[in-house]
Parts: sequence; C-alpha cells; structure tokens
Amino acid sequence: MATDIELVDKRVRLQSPSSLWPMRVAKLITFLTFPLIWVGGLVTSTDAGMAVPDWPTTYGYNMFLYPWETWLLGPWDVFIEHGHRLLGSLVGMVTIVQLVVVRKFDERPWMRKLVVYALLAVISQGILGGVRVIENEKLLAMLHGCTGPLFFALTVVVLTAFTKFWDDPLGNCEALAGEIHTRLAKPLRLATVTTVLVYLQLVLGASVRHTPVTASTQTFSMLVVFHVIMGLVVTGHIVAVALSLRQSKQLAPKIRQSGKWLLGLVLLQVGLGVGTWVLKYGYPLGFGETKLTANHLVVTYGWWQSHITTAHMATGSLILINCVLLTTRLQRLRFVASLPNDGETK
Amino acid sequence: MKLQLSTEITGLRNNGVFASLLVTCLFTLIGCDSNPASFQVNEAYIRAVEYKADVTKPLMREAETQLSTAQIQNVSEIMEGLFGTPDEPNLPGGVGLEDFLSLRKLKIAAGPVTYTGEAGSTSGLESGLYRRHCAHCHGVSGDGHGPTAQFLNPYPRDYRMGQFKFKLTDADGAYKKPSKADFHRTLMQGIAGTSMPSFRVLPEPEREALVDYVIYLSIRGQTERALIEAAYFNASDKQEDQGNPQKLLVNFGEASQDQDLEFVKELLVPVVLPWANGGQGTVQRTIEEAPVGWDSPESIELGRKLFYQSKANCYSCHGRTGIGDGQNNLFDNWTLEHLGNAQGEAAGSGEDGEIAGIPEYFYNSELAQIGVVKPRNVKPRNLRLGNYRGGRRPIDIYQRITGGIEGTPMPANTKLTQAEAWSLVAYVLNLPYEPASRPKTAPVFQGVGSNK
Ligand code: HEC
Ligand code: HEC
Repeated sequence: MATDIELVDKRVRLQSPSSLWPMRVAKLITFLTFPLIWVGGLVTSTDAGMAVPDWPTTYGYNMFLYPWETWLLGPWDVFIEHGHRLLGSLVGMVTIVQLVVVRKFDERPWMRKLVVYALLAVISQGILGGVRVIENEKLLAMLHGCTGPLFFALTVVVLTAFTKFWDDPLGNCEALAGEIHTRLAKPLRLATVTTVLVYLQLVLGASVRHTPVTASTQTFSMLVVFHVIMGLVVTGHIVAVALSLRQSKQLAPKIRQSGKWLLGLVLLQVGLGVGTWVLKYGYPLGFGETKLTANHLVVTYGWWQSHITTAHMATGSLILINCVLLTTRLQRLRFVASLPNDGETK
Repeated sequence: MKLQLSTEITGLRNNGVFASLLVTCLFTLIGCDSNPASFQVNEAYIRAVEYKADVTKPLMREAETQLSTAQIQNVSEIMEGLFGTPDEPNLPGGVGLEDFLSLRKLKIAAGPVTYTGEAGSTSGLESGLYRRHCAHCHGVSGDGHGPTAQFLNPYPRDYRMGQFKFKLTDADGAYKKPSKADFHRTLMQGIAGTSMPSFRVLPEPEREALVDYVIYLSIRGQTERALIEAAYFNASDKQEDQGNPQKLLVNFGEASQDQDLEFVKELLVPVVLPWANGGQGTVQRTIEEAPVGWDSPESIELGRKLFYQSKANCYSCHGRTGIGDGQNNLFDNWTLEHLGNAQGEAAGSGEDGEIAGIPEYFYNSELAQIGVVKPRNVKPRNLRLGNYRGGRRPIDIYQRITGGIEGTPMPANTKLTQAEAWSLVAYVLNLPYEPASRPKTAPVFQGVGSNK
C-alpha cells in the first residue's frame, strides 16, 4: 500500500515544466491546427483535392520551392490545395520543435511519449493526404478527414498538460478534495461519453460528405438520417453536460464556462448543418412553400455553399476539442482530488 | 482507490472499443459501396414493359412474360458495344451522331476525376466532370437515381426517357428535343426552387462537355429502352429465334454481324434523328416577338379572364387563386411509367382528393432496389410565388404556355391565339404582385362548377 501511494505521489510531483517554452509551442500548434482543418475542409468543399495531382511535389516542384506568385495568383483550387500542404508541413515542423523542447524541459515520462505520438500522428496524416492524392481515392480522403480532428484533440490534451490548471486543479478547495472526487464522477462520465459521440458524429458527417457517386440512394439516405439523429443525441448530451456543470458549484469558473461554450457551439452547429443542406440541395420537404423557399437557387461552389459547408465541418472539430478539453480537465481534477492529502495540509 | 481508477479506465476503453467498432462499420459500408462505376441496366423499364404486358398481374412476374437473365445480360452487352462504359464512352457510328456530339468532349465529361497536371491551367481537368458535378444526383447512368435522389423534391431528372421540361423548342414533332442552348441555359441558371444547381462557376468548355454528355446519356437511355422492348417482343415470340432463344442478337460483336448491325441501326435511327434535327442541335424554334402592349393593364385583364376560361383552363390545375391547388393528384411521366397507367387514368381517378392512382401494392423495397423512386404527385406551380423554373423572361413563360412542360401534365396550349397567349404571360407575371383576394371577384360563371 505504502509503495502505491508513493508512486502516485511521485507522479503528481512531476508537474509541468517551469520553462514556458513547451506551453508556447503547444499553443502555437493548436492555433495552427484549426486553420489547417478549416483549409482542409475547403479543399473538399471546393473539390480542390486533386487540383495538384502530384505529391509530395507540387507540379514537379519541391513543395516549398513552388513559385509563390503562381501559388497566390493562380487558380483558386491550386491556391487552396497547395496552401493546405504548406500549412500542414508547418504544423509538422512545429511538432518536431515541440518534441525537442518537451524532451529538453519536461520530465513527465508520459508527456515525453505523447509528443512522439503527436509527431507520428501528424506525419501519418500528411502521408495519408499524399496517398489520397496519388491514388485519387475518395475513401482515403474520408479517412484523412477523420484523423485530422483526432490530431487536433491530441494537441489540446498536450496543451492542457502545460497549463496552471494542470499543476493545481484544486486551487484553494483542497479541503474539499474528497467531495469533489465523488461529485465529479457523473459530469466526467457524461463528458467522456459525449466526446465519443461527438467523434462518431464527425465520422458520420464525413461519410455523408464523402459518399461515392456509385453508392445507392438507400445508403446515402440512411447515413443522412443517422447523422441527423446523432446530431440530436449529441445536442441532448451537451445540454446534459452543461446542466451538470452548472450544478457542480465547486468547479473553477473556467470549467463551468465550458458548458456554455459547448452549448453555444452545438446550437451554431445545428444551424450550420441545416444551412449546409439548404445550400447544397435546397429546402427539404417540410419547410413549406414561401417566396423565399420557392425561389431558392443552389449554386455549385457558390461562396456561401463552400464556406457554410466548411464552417459546419470545422465547428464539428471545435466541439470535439472542447469536449476533449473538458474531459481532460475533469479527469485531471478528479485524479488529483483522489490522491491522499499530502503532508502540508495534514 | 486504485480499483476505482482502473474501472474508470476500463469504462473509457469500452467506450473507445464501441466507437472504433462503429467507425470501422461505417468505413466498410462506404468502402463496399464504392464499387467501380458502371452503367446499370434499366431494370425499372424492363419491369414496366413486363407490367404493361399484363396489367392484371402487376408484380407477379411469370416466366413466360419476363426477360431471362441471359437476355438482360445480352442487352447490356449490346449497350456496352454501342456506347462504351462510364470510363470509356463510345459513339456508335453510321447514324450521324458525330455530327453533333464530340467524342473528345464526352471523354472529358466521362470517367473518374483525373487531372492532366499542367501548372497554371484554370482547369487541369482531364476527365470526370460528370462524376464530379452531376452523378451524385443524376446517377452514373443518368437514371436520376444517384445517392442523394431519395431526399430531393422534385427527384433529379432521369435522362433515359429523353424528355426535358425547359426548352425553347417545339412541344411535339420533329423539333421537340431541347437544343444545346437550352441545356446551357439550364446549367447556367440552375433550376430555382429545386435542387438542380447553377453551374455558372464552371468554365464554358466544361459546360459544353457536360451538355454533350447529357445528350449522350439521353440517347443511350432511349436506345436501351428500344432494345428492351425489342428483346421483350422477341422473347414473347418464341418462334422467331428457335436456335438461340436466350439471346437477342446472336452474333453481336463477332465477325458475321451484318444482320445485327442492321437491327441495331433500325433501333438507333429513330432515337438519334430528333436530336440531330437542327444541325448542331442548337437551332431554336423561331418564336414570335411579343406584340406591342402585351403587358398593358388591358392585356393583363384579358389574361386574367382567359385564366378562368375553358379555352386556357389554367385555373383547373393552378387553382382559383393561382396557388396551385386545383389538382393534387397529378403525376409526371417518369412516375406514370411505373404506375403503368395512361396519364389520364392515373390523374383523373382521385375524386375525393386522396393521392390517387398509386395502387396499394405498388411501392416496395424491391422496386427501390432497381431504381424506381417512390411515387410523388407533381404539384401545379403556385403562381403567386414568382417561381419560374424554366426562366423568368416573358419568352420563357410564353413558351411554357404554348409549348407546355414536357413530361408533366402542364399542357401545350394550341387553342390560344398569339395575342391571347401573350396576355396570359402578362397575367402570370403579374400574379405575384396581385392581392390574393382579387381573383375572388373573378368571373366564376366562366368556370365549370367548383374545383375544390
Ligand atoms: C443536387 C442535385 C443535382 C445536381 C448536382 C445536378 N442536378 Fe440536374 N437536376 C436536379 C434535379 C432535382 C432536376 C429536376 C428539376 C425539375 O424537374 O424541375 C434536375 C434536372 C436536370 C436537367 C433537366 C432540365 C429540364 O429541362 O428538364 C438537366 C439537363 C440536368 N439536370 C443536368 C445536370 C447536369 C449536367 C449536372 C452536372 C453538371 C446536374 N444536372 C447536376 C438535381 C441535380
Ligand atoms: C393539367 C394541369 C395544368 C394546366 C391545365 C395548366 N398547368 Fe401550368 N403547370 C402544371 C404543372 C403540373 C406545372 C409544374 C410542372 C413542373 O413540374 O415543373 C405547371 C407549371 C406552370 C408554370 C411554371 C413554369 C415554370 O417555368 O416554372 C406556369 C407559369 C404555368 N404552369 C402556367 C399555366 C398557365 C398560364 C396555364 C393555362 C394556359 C396552365 N399553366 C395550365 C399543370 C397545369
């Protein structure tokens, strides 16, 4: 028993490094990954995926030496696709920097491993994207689209582990540790389940988006119905998460706020989803006939169509990382609360 | 405590296992459904032909009245010989198709999406336009049964019947096929109020290739229908080819194929001719200029009267107030074909306002599998919303009134004089701005009884 506690205790003492660099780098990666995902979504929305037919070269050039005037002033789809590649490479390089920095400053063994995984993830994601281009295979495009948010989630976990919150999640409530531990069981479970559901919903969305033209209309209809049902389920879960966070008064306001954020995001997301359908396929049955609906025109690659569709996808990732962030924090909080009080308070 | 932590982790892991299982399922589903693109045999039409042959036994296909698998196989072989595959289109020679369709353009439109990889070209596209832009709605075969079809209203067009709604060509006769200019307009403007998008962002040459491809798919579809009919009548007449009853064309694709070629040509010519009429397929019907004062208040007033008179009879479908509630049991031709009735019969039988003409037994999952969409009524347009799907220029409306909307119950009116037709155009274009109460004072006595 004694050894157990010692072990656990030791782990807690290995807190985030005193240097600020790991956090800065982690922040940079996270803030670069969101636009990366957005541009990646645009690649699909505007069908630019195959605009540059070779990889890792761009039209025969080394990716980084592709003439910038041709890139910036050339056709839109090349601009987007090449831009996505450059941004992806940038994220990859910063992830290498992260590996070096973390290995230098951080002693937590799991963190030293995690950054290796992050690097492997970003490399495989890049290769996946490249193979998708070489093979011109839509299924790979879908896979590529589904792993992107996973990497995003990983960057958020890494970032959280460098925050002040991580070192001292209990703040001045240390005395309440036992209570927090029991009280948080439910919110944590809810948040975990919600995270999983949100990710499934992302995959469903990707399947709707990448349904091959040879699929039957029954398959597509089923996917759409599932996606809508899952949307309702996820919304319900997020409402429940927000409510349970509201009730957990002991929590730091930062965490309690995230319920509101999630709620706002999911409402936005439902709106964007409806918008996406309307902009791609017109008003569905049941919207009624008014001057607005009757005269609605779908415009392929229209500005609204491309951007609302992309926003729908990107907001999906945002919801995912917010769920991951919340789950990670709650998990950490509960873990620390579950530790026996150390010498100071005794 | 250690125990508790580990149960939590197990819980997490269970969640994860469950999730990854589902994700794998989805990928397999999508993966399995992405089989290579091929032209599907028009099984729905085979069914329709068999069904018409014996209306009393709608869905009981008896051995004598149906095509054998070998015959169906034969149909698709012949089709492939004539028109190639979705990846490698082909134009059958000797019937003048090359005069108005370009194989080069067809190849750009067909095939999987690939690029030439030339730097800086506005579109490095080498092939795959149709699959990139159209097939998810209209289907690889142009059967209107792409993945999205089920949820769209109206359904995406099935080209295989060769009927099109919005054109400036004749209602009937030798010049009734839409011209290329008609298709171009549809692609530029889209069809507002439906899910048919505007493709104005595409470069002109790409739209041209797509138009050729739509015509190609239409001709292909019509030929297939003719072939199925021929196969069916061959099959019913067992004496004809005693030697090889399983085959429609015995020697197709082999050396001694003269006879077969003759046969195929016989089928092709009547299909191709109407499309070829008008040279490059771009000649439009010469349409009368609008007379001076066609949109004057008096003209609008005349149009309003005509709307309710039996000569034009618009109100009987579009309703007393023009909101399209005059008839709620109409079908378009694409649906009627599968209902197996003459248009009049199906449309007329809904006395008490229920959805008429769809037999109880009609729709089932088996039919869904072969690409028959669930029958829906076609609604006469609500003329108060200003939704003109075929274009809102006066000439477009004029054409809809005098030429009808092919494939739908909206009739071509031949009884109206030119001036009367233009008055109706003026009235129709004015309807969205007219207070809804106005028509109540309309000359009701002109109509024939009530039309609820
Ligand atoms: C989002 C679904 C969708 C896509 C994508 C789409 N269409 Fe359509 N299309 C439709 C629907 C729905 C109709 C039927 C409109 C109606 O009946 O009023 C239609 C009708 C048509 C018609 C018939 C117009 C007429 O006069 O009867 C043509 C031709 C056509 N589409 C061509 C194309 C081509 C070419 C493309 C690709 C460049 C394309 N469509 C892409 C949904 C789509
Ligand atoms: C037998 C029923 C019927 C009659 C009679 C009829 N219509 Fe229609 N009309 C329809 C239907 C059905 C449609 C919708 C067709 C479609 O699917 O696009 C339609 C569509 C229209 C449209 C819309 C065209 C567009 O571009 O969107 C106009 C305008 C119109 N009708 C005017 C008239 C006028 C004027 C008359 C009298 C001369 C008339 N209709 C008579 C059934 C009818």
